[in-house]
Amino acid sequence: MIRTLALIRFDLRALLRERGTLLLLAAALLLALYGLFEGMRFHRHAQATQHAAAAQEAGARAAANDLAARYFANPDAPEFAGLRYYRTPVDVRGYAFREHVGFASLPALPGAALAIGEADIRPSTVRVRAESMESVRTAAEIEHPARLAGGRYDLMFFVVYLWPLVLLSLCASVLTQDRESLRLRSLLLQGVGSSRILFVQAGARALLATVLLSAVVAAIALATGSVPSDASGLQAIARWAGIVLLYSTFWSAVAAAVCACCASRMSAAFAGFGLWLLFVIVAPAAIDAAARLAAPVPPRERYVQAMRDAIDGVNANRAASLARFYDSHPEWRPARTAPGDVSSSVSRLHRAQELERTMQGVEREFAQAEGARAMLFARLSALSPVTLANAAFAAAAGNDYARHRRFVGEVERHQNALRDWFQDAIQRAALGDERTGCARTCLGGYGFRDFDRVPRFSASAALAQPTGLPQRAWLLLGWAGAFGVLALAALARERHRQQRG
Amino acid sequence: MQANSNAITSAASPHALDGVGRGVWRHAFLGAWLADWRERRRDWRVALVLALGLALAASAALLAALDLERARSARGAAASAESARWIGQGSKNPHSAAHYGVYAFKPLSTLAALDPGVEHYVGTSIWLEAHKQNDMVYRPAADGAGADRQFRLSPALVLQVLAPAAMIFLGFGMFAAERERGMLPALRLNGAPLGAIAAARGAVLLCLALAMSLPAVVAIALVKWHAGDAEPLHDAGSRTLLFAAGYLVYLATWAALVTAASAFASTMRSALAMLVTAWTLSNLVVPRAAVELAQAAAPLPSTHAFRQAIDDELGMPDDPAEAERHKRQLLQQYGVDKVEDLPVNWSGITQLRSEAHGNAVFDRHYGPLFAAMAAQDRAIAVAGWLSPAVAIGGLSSRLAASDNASHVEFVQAAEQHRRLMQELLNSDLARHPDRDGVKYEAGEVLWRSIPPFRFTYAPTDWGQLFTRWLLPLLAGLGVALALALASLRRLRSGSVK
Repeated sequence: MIRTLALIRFDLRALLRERGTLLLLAAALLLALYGLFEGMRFHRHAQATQHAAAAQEAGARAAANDLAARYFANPDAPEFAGLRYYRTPVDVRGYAFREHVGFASLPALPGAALAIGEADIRPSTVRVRAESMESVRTAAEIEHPARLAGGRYDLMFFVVYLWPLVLLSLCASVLTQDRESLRLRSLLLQGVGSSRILFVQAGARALLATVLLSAVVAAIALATGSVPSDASGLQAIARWAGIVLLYSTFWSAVAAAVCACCASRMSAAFAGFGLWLLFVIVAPAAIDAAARLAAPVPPRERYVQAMRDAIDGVNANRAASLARFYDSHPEWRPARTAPGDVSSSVSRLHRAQELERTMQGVEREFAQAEGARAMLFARLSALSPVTLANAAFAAAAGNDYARHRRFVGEVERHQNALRDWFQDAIQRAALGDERTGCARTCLGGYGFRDFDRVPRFSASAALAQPTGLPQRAWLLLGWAGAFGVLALAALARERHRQQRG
Repeated sequence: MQANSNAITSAASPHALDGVGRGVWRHAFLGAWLADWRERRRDWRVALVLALGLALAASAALLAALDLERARSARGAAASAESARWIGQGSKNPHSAAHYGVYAFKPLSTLAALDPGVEHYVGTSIWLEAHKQNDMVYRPAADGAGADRQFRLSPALVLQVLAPAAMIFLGFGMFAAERERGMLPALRLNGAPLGAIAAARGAVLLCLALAMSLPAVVAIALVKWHAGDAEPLHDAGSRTLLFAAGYLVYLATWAALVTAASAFASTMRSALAMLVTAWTLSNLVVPRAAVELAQAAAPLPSTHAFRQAIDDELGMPDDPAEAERHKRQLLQQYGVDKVEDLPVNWSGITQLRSEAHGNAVFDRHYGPLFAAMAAQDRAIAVAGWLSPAVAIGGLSSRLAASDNASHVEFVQAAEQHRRLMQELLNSDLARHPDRDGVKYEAGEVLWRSIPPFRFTYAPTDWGQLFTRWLLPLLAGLGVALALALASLRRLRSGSVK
């Protein structure tokens, strides 16, 4: 143990005496902090959007209440002369289909700024309309598409793509420099095994660099408020640091294997860069390509056409379908109006439900295709440590695909409840209107002022709860182990060769 | 590192020793070329790198060609179906037809198979209906199922990112190996001009990298052959030529940079370190940092704020007082007291007014939005002076019509078509008043009178292309060549260590 510690101390001292090492670490920290800054900027923008949406929703509700109070007090006031039912909140039809402002927001986890993940292509705030999920399904935040296509520069990008290069550079001289300077034999004569030198030095260098990176990032993240300075923030930092450590362990094992196999620092650098290219660019791209080929998603143009066909079908069968609707809801059946003559604004939600029913098969087909691709991609990701790390960082930050799917699921349930609520309100209003026969929007008819009773979205507690360290991240240790074994095999082969020689 | 240790002994032909001049230079070039080529052909590492590169390039090209074919055929079928649906919608009031609307699908150029640009991250279709300028919907990335935030295999990735990496692998020891092994004096004594040897070795490197573009060339030829005339570009030929020339300049820049670093560095390791650093900064860091920093050039609004602002302004369909004045004027003009007695349809006139009002509102909001995106485009292009990867990325996606500007061009053309549709439908409605309380209905003749939406990208703006991307790309090549010349001078007269 003492010998091992001495070896580490000697190695780290020698390493830190080199100006290049210090420059490399300084540059790496600067690049990491810039990534943190961009992640923080994105996170703050997303938070501002959520707050603005909440303010807009509350403001619209307050304005509607105010308008309703004035309107129902004196509907004949001049200010209401040009009032149109489909453009005013005081008419339930206008409110349900146009004036109702409702948003659903995915709560940000404490470590959201540490990885943008999929948050830039899957918005965390969506407008929910009573009529359909279309506004949620096609929701997109305004972004320059080049930013989405090129990928974000955030802390996750730095750690996943650039940090391995730093680790490989730091470790490239382990054992190889001793071989080059012919010092290895003298070290071996002192009783220090080459495997011990290799793993102790590569491990110590990678660990020191990782601890330094984690400490600096944690300190800056807490100091700048990127991560809250409370228990949840510290847990988020700990999760992030844990993934960084697992990922660094994998790359230090790669570095160890490279150094075990290569005779010189130059060839170690060459092989290291080659493996970096393979793991960081080629393997993820190949996995993506395999998933695209093996689990294709049908083209959305077909979805559009199916939807158009469904709309035509629903419109053609309007009368029969409304008759069925009122058969199953006799409490809403109009007394004097035939189902086929019910106004389009009263039958609109039923039409939307019919459309959804007709589209069920197509929706299922697309959802199954997407699910199959997601499953295949998740399976294949075990073959790519970089993909595993990517997924782990995104999941720890709460900006991953799976969490967003759960959010959309909750929004869908809320949208169903919202639609049912408005359906009831509109149908009862239509019956009231039949009875009262108001010339203009009136209470007892289509008049509406129950804005505070309209269902609002609130995310479940589970959605706001951070998950632990993603289980699949542990596969990185398996990869590290495989490279460790490779390194040991290379050293054994070298020993065998030396003994024979 | 056999792959990087070029033998200098066989570089010069006997003629090279005879004297100086163009002939000598040419002979030296040919001799060095042959020597380098021969040596690389024998080296299994070169074969391995090339085989891997070619396999990746072939997979990328195949995948891109399949994707393009699939997207084109789906969009073509959907566009035909929409056209048939529009014509066969039956008799109805023109305003109902305006609400029925049509979907327009964005056409893809063949070059977009090579450089998909932003295509994966923008919508593929847009609904053209009354009163609304809709956004494009159904981004392919939304169906990506979690696989979209890492590198996507495409010919552009191979040529922009992987080919330079392969060149670094194959070339970092071009001169550094000779210096490291103490063979620099022999190289100097050789008599052949160093410039000729460097040019030959750089050219071999360039040829090896260009070999990686072969699958892309084959794929594009196949797609083009299969697509026939379905090209949404006026100037596909000149775009393709410039596309190829752009990549040639880009790869030549890397060949010159590799030559420069290898001639400058004292060891192979430092040559590799220099090149890997340059590659990482140029291909990974600067492109991403540039698009992030470009946000400062012209910030974009949030979707909700943008939509809310439009909704607020749309408010009422038009100015009620102005509408009232207009109505009185018409009644006076036709000498009647009620709109029902007008020989024109007041509802159609109202719709025309409403659309004009809406169009002005949309222009007031979408105009600045697109202008802000264009400002960000310009800001991103500035990074092309720092990174050849940014310059070639911008150039190639612009030529492939897969960049943001081309996307906006399509969106604006679709909006113009929507406005034309509304104008024709509402004008027809305005000409036909309701009779005896029966609403006017139009039929197939009117639907057919509206031309189908056929979109072709505007011809290339060569001036913009030159100043924004070509100039930085050529400047990059110039700087790389200057660095190579300076390094060769150092190699010729500097320390042998």
